Amino acid sequence: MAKFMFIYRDPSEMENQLTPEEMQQVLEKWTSWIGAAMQAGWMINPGDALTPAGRVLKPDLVTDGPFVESKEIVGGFSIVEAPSLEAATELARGCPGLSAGGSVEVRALAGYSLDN
Amino acid sequence: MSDTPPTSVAPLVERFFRHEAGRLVSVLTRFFGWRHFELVEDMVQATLIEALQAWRVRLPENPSAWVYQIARRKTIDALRRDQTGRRIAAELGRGPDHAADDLADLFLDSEIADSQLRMIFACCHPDLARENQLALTLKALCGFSHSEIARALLLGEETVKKRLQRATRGLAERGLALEPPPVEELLPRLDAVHQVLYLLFNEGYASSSGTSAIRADLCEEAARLCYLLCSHPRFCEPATHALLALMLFHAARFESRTDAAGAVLLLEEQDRSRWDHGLIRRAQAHLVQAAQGTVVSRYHLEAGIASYHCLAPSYAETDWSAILGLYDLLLRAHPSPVYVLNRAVVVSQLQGPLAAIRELESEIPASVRDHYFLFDAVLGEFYRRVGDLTRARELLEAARAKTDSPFDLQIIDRRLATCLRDAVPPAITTVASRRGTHSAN
Repeated sequence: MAKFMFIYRDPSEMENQLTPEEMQQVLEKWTSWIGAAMQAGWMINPGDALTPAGRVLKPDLVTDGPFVESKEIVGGFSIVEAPSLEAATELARGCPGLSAGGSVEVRALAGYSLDN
Repeated sequence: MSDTPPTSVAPLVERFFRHEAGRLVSVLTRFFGWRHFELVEDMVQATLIEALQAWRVRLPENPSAWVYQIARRKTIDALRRDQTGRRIAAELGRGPDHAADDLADLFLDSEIADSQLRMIFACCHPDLARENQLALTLKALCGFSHSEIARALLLGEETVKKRLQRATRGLAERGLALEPPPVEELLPRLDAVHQVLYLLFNEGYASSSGTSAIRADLCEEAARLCYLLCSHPRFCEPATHALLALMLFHAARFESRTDAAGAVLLLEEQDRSRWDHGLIRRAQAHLVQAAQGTVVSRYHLEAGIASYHCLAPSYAETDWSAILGLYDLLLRAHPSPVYVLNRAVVVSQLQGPLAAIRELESEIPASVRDHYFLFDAVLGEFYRRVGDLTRARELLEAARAKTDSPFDLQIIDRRLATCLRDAVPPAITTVASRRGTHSAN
């Protein structure tokens, strides 16, 4: 089994129009998707979320925020296990972010232990 | 990185985001004042979105604390960020560092509740028109969106926006801070609060407005805010307990108002074992607490009526005379066609449908009959019971033309069907039996 990282990207204008009730629904979809994935065992670590606080360093410039120029912001990541990149891609199709204008990048990990 | 799977954390409570929105709006409006209500709304939105984004992969142990931390940071950032922020900070007389201390205090649990109580009184401020009070309460305290308010109050979204604008502008122009009402004004202000919560609850409960989920939410919210008042003796009177008792008695029957297929059931048709007896007990407890002082409010009387219904083992065994007495008291203090109509139903139980017909036809003015479908519907039912099916049908058809709520139409149509069913076979049997009688003679 190989390990993969799901990198969740959100549209940078994300969800400014979401009502509180809709936020609840979005979160419930994610919670149940991640919960089911952990239960099934193919997600080995739900990972973490990235907050909007951040800096971008360039040789001559430091800017606030990770998303100055991009249409999409990385919002979080999880670690999954699958026999192949194809299989991992199939697993990512269930991600609730896809139906909310976001995307999932599926990347094969080189294979170092994540615990060290 | 913890390897605890997210399933080990309890799922988020229902309506978490809505209620947090309400708490944040209250706390931040207390901090910024009504003049900066738009800023407050933007900050609440940004705070909740940030929380949502952080929690998708796993839920925190204490979501509320997390939300308040984001809100505090955003507030301080806003005061530092640009000229507008610094101007506001100067206006508030608090630099960002002091603001941080103030905010830490405002986010203490007791202060959050206090801010919400102040907000209840502000939303029901006597200078605001009643319809604006309702919209603002749903927005600022319940976290309803414009479209949810529109659906809940059966209004257009544009109307909702205008009402909210008028309400917040009204409060901002008076330069109001989010202060509790002064002691000498407490009673009249509390009275206005009771009326708004009562209206919100009825709006959600009324059969004429359908059964969609948003309507149930209205009832829940009205009861939640009333409960908030009841838990703070400083802001509550016996009438507040009576109002909560009334809401809980009704809420106890909420689920039993429809059958498994979603068809509407009237009180006499409801399966009483489906009533929520836990809620009924809580309602009773508040009714006991309401029995203090010397004022008997309409909420006391209505809660009393609801309690007789909830405690009756069956429709037939209801203590109708006690209920009649309460309606008489209600009508004396608060004359209203709705009470007359309900009283007539009680009269029909005690003295039969003819007495009820007489009462309704003499007591309800034509101006009310003309646009009140329930009048025709109830009167039609009485005529059906005395056997005048032609008149019953006329009245039920008239009722049908005066409402377009599917909920009401369902009830009317069922009664119409009963009329038709009763009309055909009994007519034949009557003729047949008459013939029989004649021939026998």
